[in-house]
Amino acid sequence: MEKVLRVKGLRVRYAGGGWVLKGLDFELGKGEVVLIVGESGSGKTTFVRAITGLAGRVYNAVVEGYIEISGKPLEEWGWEEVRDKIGVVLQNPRATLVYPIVYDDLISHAYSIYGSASTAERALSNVTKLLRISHLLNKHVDQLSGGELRRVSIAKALLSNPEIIILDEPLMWLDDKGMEEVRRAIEILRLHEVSVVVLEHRYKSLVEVADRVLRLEGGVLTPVETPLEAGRVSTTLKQASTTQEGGDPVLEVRNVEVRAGELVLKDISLRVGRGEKVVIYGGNGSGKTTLLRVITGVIKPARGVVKRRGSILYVPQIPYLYFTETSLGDELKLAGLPDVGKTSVDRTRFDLDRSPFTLSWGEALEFIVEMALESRSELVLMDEPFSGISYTSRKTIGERLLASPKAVVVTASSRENLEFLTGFKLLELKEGRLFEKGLLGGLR
Amino acid sequence: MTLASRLLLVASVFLGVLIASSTPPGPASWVYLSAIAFVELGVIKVLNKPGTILRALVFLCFFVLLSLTMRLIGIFLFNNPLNPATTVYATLLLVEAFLGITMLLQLVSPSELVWLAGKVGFREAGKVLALVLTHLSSILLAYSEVYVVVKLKKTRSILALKPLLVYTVEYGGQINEAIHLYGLPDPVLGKTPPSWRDLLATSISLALILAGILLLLR
Repeated sequence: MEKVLRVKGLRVRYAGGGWVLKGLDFELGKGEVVLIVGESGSGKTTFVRAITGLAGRVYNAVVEGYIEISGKPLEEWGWEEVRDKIGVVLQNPRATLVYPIVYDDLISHAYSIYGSASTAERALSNVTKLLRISHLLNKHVDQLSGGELRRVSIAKALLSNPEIIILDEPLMWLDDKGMEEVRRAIEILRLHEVSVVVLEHRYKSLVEVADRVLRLEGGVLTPVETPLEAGRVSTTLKQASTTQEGGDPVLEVRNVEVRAGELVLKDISLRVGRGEKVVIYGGNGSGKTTLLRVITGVIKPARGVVKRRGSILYVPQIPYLYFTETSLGDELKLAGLPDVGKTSVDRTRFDLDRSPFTLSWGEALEFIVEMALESRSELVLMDEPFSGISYTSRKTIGERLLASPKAVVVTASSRENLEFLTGFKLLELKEGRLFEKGLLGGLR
Repeated sequence: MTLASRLLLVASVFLGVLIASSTPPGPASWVYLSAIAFVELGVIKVLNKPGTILRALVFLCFFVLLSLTMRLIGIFLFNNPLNPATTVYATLLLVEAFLGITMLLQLVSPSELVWLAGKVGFREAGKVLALVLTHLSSILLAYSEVYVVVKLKKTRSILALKPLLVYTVEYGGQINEAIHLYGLPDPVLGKTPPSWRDLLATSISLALILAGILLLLR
């Protein structure tokens, strides 16, 4: 198989830090789809930055080793040539858009590549037909769902007709529908013999479309010998036979109605008892975050009653947005844990003098969970806590939440995540209404 | 509609507001001001859902009421209040200027704004404006998340600046990376063939401008 990318002994380190990649070898064949899995902070994004030349150019990182694109060393290609050879879909696909209307953004990028309006139009037409996104062209970026935004971003990466497409955590934040859309987009790329590298720790739904699976660990890539657990996420849920008995209510929501722009939540009722665990499941844009904000009291409902007994701790989707203090120790104090020596949080690997903003995504989430469960708050609200972390971390957090005496309400947009919330009471938010689905017993 | 006729429509409204502001309130000025409001509300109605026109009317009435309330306060406090007609006239001028800006942002797309900025020598500034318009909602969403956290933490709200700053810098880094990968291209405007809407918009614009000139010459 013709190789479009060869990497030998790649070592990368950022200024002032240790080696993130430690002699990594990698080869990518024409039309091949390679899935690279790895824990949060294992160096997946650094790998992307290194092979696109961004590591040295933007991040001033030290890059050693040999990188060859289409038979020619990286240094021999011009910067713009590399950009045309490798299309990158970033973790945050929205960041790639310059203009808020999809058509405006794509056509201006196509024109900058081809320098001719008719060729740019033709390239755009081909790509939109290929990815079936013609209906999205006149939309504003704010009107796109997570899956649509990824497909638009893939289309932008494809406009230069690259040999390689790199997808950096393409499933982050996506609900079941969005995941399926991205999966289908990868299948289309594969059919058209585009070489694809997917870096993702939420890999289960992608294993089937990959020719090879590699694990990035300890700064090197190793083939995954045993097949990873694969398959599309089941659409049926197994329910446990027992019911969860909550204590005195810490939260009562009765017949609440909320109108926030296009979103309408109707007749929402929810009771959470002391120690009870609840998961609110719904697709992107179904109103889960809005409902959490109603619970916190930030959004006042148009109708209905919300009664809170005791304090609430709210963990946003992006865990870094939680931190307001200069050190982890100060965060603990603010959460009502002044005697840090007696908490389980400091028995973990955290240095309490460390700034919270230096933690990795997974570490930040783990710290917040440990702190929340020992805090004085009666109710812990977590908005999509499983985005951006590995399956192992999800399992640990799910078990930790279940074992805690606190009342916990989490939201989830993917059925895949429900697997880690066994024992939680499942509520589905659909078309503005909340439906009780019983106790979660895992996926069938 | 072509960009030229949309721009002419916006320009005629702003010119109208300018002319109305330089003429004292009288029957002719009131009719002229109403005509501008009619054009603005008409455009809002065409471009938006039916409820929006209602909200625009509420917006208009709210400011008129506000001005009258201020007049009442003026009677009690200073005993030398403004003429009510002048107060309402000035308020309407202000509201119409606001609606004019709304109209501009609805009729002219961000890439057209960048193109226009480029024509007057502000190409790079225009691109920065486009980036801001594209990413602002995403950043504001993160800001609202921090607001919830800080409110519940009952900590000093000034500390909210820290996560906001970190997030904004991080987000800026992602945009920087994207610009390196994809560049910051100039906008490409599609060609729109003229239609009956252009004829209508041009006629309305010219009528507004002509009426304004007549008002000034009166």
